[in-house]
Amino acid sequence: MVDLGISARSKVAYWGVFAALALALSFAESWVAPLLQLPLGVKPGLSNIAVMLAAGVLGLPAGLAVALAKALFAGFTRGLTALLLSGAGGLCSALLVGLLLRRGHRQAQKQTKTGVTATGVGILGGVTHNLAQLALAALLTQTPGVFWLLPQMIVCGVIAGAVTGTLAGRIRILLHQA
Amino acid sequence: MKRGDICIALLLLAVAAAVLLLRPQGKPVVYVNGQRITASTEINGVVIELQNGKARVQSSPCRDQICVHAGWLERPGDVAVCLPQRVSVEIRSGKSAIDAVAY
Ligand SMILES: [Zn+2]
Repeated sequence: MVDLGISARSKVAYWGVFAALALALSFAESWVAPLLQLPLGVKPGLSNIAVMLAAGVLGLPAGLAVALAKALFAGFTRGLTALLLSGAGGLCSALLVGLLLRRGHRQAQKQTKTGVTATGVGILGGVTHNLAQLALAALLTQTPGVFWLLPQMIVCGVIAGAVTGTLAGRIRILLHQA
Repeated sequence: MKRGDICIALLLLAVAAAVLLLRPQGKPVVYVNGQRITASTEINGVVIELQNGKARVQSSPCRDQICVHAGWLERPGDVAVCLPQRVSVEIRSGKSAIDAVAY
C-alpha cells in the first residue's frame, strides 16, 4: 500500500470518492460499450480505473470493495448476468493489481530495475479482467469453445488496460501532490 | 511506458497470436450449447439460422444484441455467445480437411 500520509478520516473519504467514481464510469460505459460491440459484451473497463486507484492508493481491501460496489451497481441496472460478469472481472483484476502493487512496494528496487510502471500493471489488470469474464462465460454456457475468443479478449485487455493503467498512474501522482 | 510494460504487452500479444494459430482446421460442424445441430433452431428465445454450413444468431430477446452482431460463423473456432439467454453457438471441426484428402 502506498503511504500517502493520509489521515484515517480522509481515507474514508477516499473510499467514497473511488466508489462514486466507479459508479459514474460504469454508467458512462454502459452508453459507450454497445457501440464498440466487443465479444461477450465486454466493457472497455473504464470503471476499472477506480478499482485500480482504490487498490493502489488505499490497498487491496478497498480495491475489492470498489469492485464489489461496481458489480452490485451493474446488477441493479442490468441484471444478474451483468452482476456476475462485472464481479468476476472486477474482483480478479483488483486482486491482481492489489497484490502486484503490494509486492512492488516490498521490492521497490527490483521493480524499478524491471521497469514496470502503472501502465504495465494496468495491462495485466485489464487482461485479467477479460480472462475472468471469458472463464465465467465458458462456465455459464458450458462451452469450452468460448476460449477461442481469447485472442480478441487479450488484445482488448491490453489496449484498455494500458489506457486505464496510465490514467490511474497519472491520477495517483496528482493525489501524491495534493 | 517503460521496457517492462512493453515486455508484458508483447508477451500477452504473443499468447493471443499462438491461440490464433492453434485454431482447429477442417469441416465446419455447428454446435449449440454443446449439442450438434443440422438445421435452424430456437433455444431460450434465441433463433439460430443455418445456411450452407454457416450459422448465425438471427434474433435474440437479449438487450445488447452482442450475439446477433457476431454475424455469420463459418470456420472452426468461430463462436457467438448470448450470456443473458445462456446460449452458445460454436463451429467445431468435423473430420479434418487432411483426413478428407487422405481417404
Ligand atoms: Zn444476446
